[in-house]
Amino acid sequence: MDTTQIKTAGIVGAGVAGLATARKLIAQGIACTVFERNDVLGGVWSAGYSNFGAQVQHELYEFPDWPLPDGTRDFTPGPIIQKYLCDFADHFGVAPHIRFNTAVDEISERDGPGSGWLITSHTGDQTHRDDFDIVVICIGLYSQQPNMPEFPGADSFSGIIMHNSALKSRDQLAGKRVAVLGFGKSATDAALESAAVATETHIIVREPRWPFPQKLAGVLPFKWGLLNRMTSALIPLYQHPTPVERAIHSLLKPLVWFYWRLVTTLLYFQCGLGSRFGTRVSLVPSKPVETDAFSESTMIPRPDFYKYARRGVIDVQRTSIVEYTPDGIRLGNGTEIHIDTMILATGWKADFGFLSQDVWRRLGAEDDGFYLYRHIMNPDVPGLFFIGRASTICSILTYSLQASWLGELVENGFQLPSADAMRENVDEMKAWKRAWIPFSPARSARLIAFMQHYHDELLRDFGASPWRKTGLFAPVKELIFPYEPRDYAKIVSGAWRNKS
Amino acid sequence: MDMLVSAGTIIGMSFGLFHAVYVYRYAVAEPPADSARSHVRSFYYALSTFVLWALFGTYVLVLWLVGAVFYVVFKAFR
Repeated sequence: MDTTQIKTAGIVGAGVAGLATARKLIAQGIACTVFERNDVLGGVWSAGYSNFGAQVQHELYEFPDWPLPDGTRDFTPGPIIQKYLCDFADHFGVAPHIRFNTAVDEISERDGPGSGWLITSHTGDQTHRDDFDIVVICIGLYSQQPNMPEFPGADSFSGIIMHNSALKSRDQLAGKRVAVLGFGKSATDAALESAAVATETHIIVREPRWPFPQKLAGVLPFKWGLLNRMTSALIPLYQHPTPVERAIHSLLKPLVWFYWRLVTTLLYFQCGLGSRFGTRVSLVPSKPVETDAFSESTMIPRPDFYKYARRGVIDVQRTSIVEYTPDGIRLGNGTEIHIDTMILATGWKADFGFLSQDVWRRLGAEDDGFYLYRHIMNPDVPGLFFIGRASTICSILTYSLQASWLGELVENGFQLPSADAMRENVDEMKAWKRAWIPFSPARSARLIAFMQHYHDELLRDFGASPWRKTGLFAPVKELIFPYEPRDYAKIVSGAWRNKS
Repeated sequence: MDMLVSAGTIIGMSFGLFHAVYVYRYAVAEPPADSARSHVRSFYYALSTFVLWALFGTYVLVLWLVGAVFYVVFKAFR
């Protein structure tokens, strides 16, 4: 399809990805309608769990050319980000294009592939049917449907079973005996909230993850050890490694191996992972750090979590749940814990049920999700784009660059590869991920620390230089300085075309 | 010690030369390509790459040697 002839776009979701996309397309004169099921914008930031917030420093969670207000603290609380997103939508004229309280029921092609799209939605009892040249789905990796694993005996359990998203205030846990299932950011956050007010807090983890402290060795912000090009060259090889990366991972293999053992040692001692927690188990993950931390997700817990766990304020059980009992849970290690509240911090279900069956089939969804060219589009489903279906450490930056990629495609129509070449690229990506990234329902969308490689690809596609550092020491900065959203301000604002 | 420093520097310069050539070819092809500014910039990046390798070659060699010893021991006892 000729992308430069696009006049209308339907955008599903008014979270970070939806706002970034709408801002780019509106600026290019595209008539946009943003469908938002809630009565406020912000997506995950509009209604989070108690004490939720960003897990990275404030300069890593802002739009590249729209900085957070001066004085914003690191690990920004959710409500502040929500306000920031509202300001963004007002400033860039996105807000008037949002149709609130409107749930999308079906997305289907108008009249076969390439013919445009129909979105059926409803606001209360009122049904809408809208016609668009393209549809951009910006709902992220998951839906608003909590993933609630079931265990035998739930009916006889006398306490409360809740998803962590239902934890709106720590007061809900005051004086209770609480168990949290999971070991991601939301699970450790819930455990800390519980530890503040509950009489007992347990966290049940089947397989722990390597944590990345907010400050390495208590001194260096983690971005210096994770988000620069030097570290990018030391993580497992990307889908299309450069000759230099190949050389590093072959000739210099012992050095790369030794580097990761040093990182392992640092994390081991800084977080006290070798301590004996709960039933005399450690929290040392079974996978090596370079595989675990750079594949499925990267965990940056609040500093107090491991401190509380070592002190026994949070009781860590490295096992699984076997069943509920009338007043608690029985674990795989034989322990029985008496609790009043069970918090399932087990994520969300993926739900793209609004896509027609034919479209869903052509997207090629499998157990680990559906793979897209550049994590944005499928050549067999022209006119349907996904912004925000790429999981990285710095998601707001990734979504902004994806939106810029789409904006450049619509405005200038840069040359995409042939459909066959795109399919081949997608197949290679699929094979590469499946070769070493542990299975998860969203493996197809996982990039995590490979975001530097991915961002470079996006920029190169539309003819911008991926080297964004400036000044006399730019070569050194490229190597060891962390890449942050502000490095891409000119890309996102479009000013890069004046001076790259 | 002098021999180690010399060996590291020579190895670093060798790697650095290849890396610098790669960086130059890569950078000169980046947009805006084939402009005088692009060539100057690319040369500067390539030169910086070479200098960094030459400066830190000894450190790389030492870490490689230490890593190799630990790697062999680790694999032998695993």
